[in-house]
Amino acid sequence: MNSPFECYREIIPDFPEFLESLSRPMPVHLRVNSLKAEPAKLVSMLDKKGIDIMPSCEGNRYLFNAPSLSSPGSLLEYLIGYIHPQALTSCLASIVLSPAYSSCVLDMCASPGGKTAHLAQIMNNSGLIVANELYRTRHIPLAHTLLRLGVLNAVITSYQAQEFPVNQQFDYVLADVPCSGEGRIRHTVGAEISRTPKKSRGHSLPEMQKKILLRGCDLLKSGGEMLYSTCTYNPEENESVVNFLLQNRDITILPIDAGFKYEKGLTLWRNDKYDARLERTARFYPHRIDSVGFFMARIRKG
Amino acid sequence: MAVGIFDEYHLLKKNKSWWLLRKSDYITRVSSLKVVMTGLKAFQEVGRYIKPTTRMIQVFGHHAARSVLDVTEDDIDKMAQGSYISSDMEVDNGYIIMSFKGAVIGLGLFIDGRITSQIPRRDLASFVYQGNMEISNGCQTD
Repeated sequence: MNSPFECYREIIPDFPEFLESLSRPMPVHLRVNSLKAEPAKLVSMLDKKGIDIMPSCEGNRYLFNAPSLSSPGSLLEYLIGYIHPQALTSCLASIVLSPAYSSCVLDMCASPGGKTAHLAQIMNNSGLIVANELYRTRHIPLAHTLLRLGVLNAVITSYQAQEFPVNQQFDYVLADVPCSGEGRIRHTVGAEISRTPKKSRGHSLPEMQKKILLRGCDLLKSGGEMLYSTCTYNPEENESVVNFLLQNRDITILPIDAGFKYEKGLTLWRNDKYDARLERTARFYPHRIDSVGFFMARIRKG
Repeated sequence: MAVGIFDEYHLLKKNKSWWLLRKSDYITRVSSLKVVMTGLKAFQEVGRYIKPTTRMIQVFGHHAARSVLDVTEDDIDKMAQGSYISSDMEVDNGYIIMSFKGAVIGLGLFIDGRITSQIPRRDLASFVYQGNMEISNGCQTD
C-alpha cells in the first residue's frame, strides 16, 4: 500500500527513514512548568516514583523525554500543574518566538493552551497575553490548561482569528493556525491511516491561513515578531502561505535557532516557485526530531 | 499570607467571582476587546462566605504560614470516598490548605475537628491511584 505521504517523496530527505519513523509510537515529552515547579526538584520527585525522565536537549532545563511514562495525565504532578505533556516541536514554537518579559503577546488560535502557557512561562507571568480562540467549546480546555498551569497574565478572547480587531498592536504574535495535521499522523498498530481533508468547516485551509497570517502581521507593531506554525508537511499550507505574506507586506524572514536539526523551507513545489527568502523557514521531520512534524516561519514586521 | 503577595495583581470581580490578573500597562491598551476570561479565578462567593479556588491555592498556598495540613495517602483515600478526616489542628472553623508530599493540592473545610475536602473527587482519586487512571487531555500534543 502506498503511503499517504508518497507525494512528498521528492521534498522529504531520506524518505524511507521518514516512513519508518512513522511506524514508531509518538514519544512522550514533558515540559516542566517553571511557573510552579523547579525542574531539578520535579525530576527528583518523579525519580522517587521510579519515573525516569531525561533532558530533551542540552541548554534547556525544562524539556524532558519520558519514555517509560504512558499516561502523564494521571500523575499528581500533572493535576497540580507542575508538568505539561507537550510535543517537543510544539514546545519549540514558543521557544523560537521567545517573547521578552513584560511584553504584549497575541496567540491567535490558542486552544488547547499548551503554547499559550509556555509563552507565559517564558515571560514569567509578566506583561499580557491575549489568548484568542473562536470556538466556545474550545474555551473549556484552554481555560483548564491556563488555570492548571498557573497562568496569571492572560485573558481569553473569542474572535475569528482573521478578523481580530486591528485597533491594538502587539509586540509578538503567535499564529499557530488550524491545519491538516499531517505531522501528527503515525502508522501505529490499529490506527487508521488517512489524509485529513484539506478543508475546515467548508473553508480552504490555505486560504484561511493566508488571511490569518495577514491579520497577524497587521496586528504587529513595527519591528514586532510573529511566528507562523503548522503541524503539516503540505507546502500549500506552509511556504505558499508565507510567500503570500512576502508578496503583500513589508516583512523580514528571520533565521531560526531551535537547537534541533531541521530542513530549510522549500523554494519550489510542483509548479510553484517561492521567494528565495523562504529557505529561512524550518521544516521539522519525525525521523530527525522524533516528534510531531512541524513547520515554522519567524517573521519580523518591517 | 504575607502582606504584598497580591500587590502585583488586579483583583477583578464579575458576578460572584473574583479573578487575579497580573498588573500590566497593556491592560488599558486591549480594554476595547471583548474578554471571555481574565487571569486566574481566585475566589467565589458561596452563601455568606468567600471561598478561595483550588487553582488559586495551588499557586499561592505555599506562602501560607498557618492553617496548612499535610495529608497522607490514607487521608486522601478517605476523602476520595467522600468521607471526612479528623484533625486536632488548632485553627478556627473555616477553610484550610492541604498539602501532600510537600505540594499544595487544594483546600479543605475544617469544622470542629472534621475536614471535608474541597478538591474535586476525581482529582483526589488520582493522587492516590496514580498510573491507574487516564485523563483524556493528559496526552495532548498542542
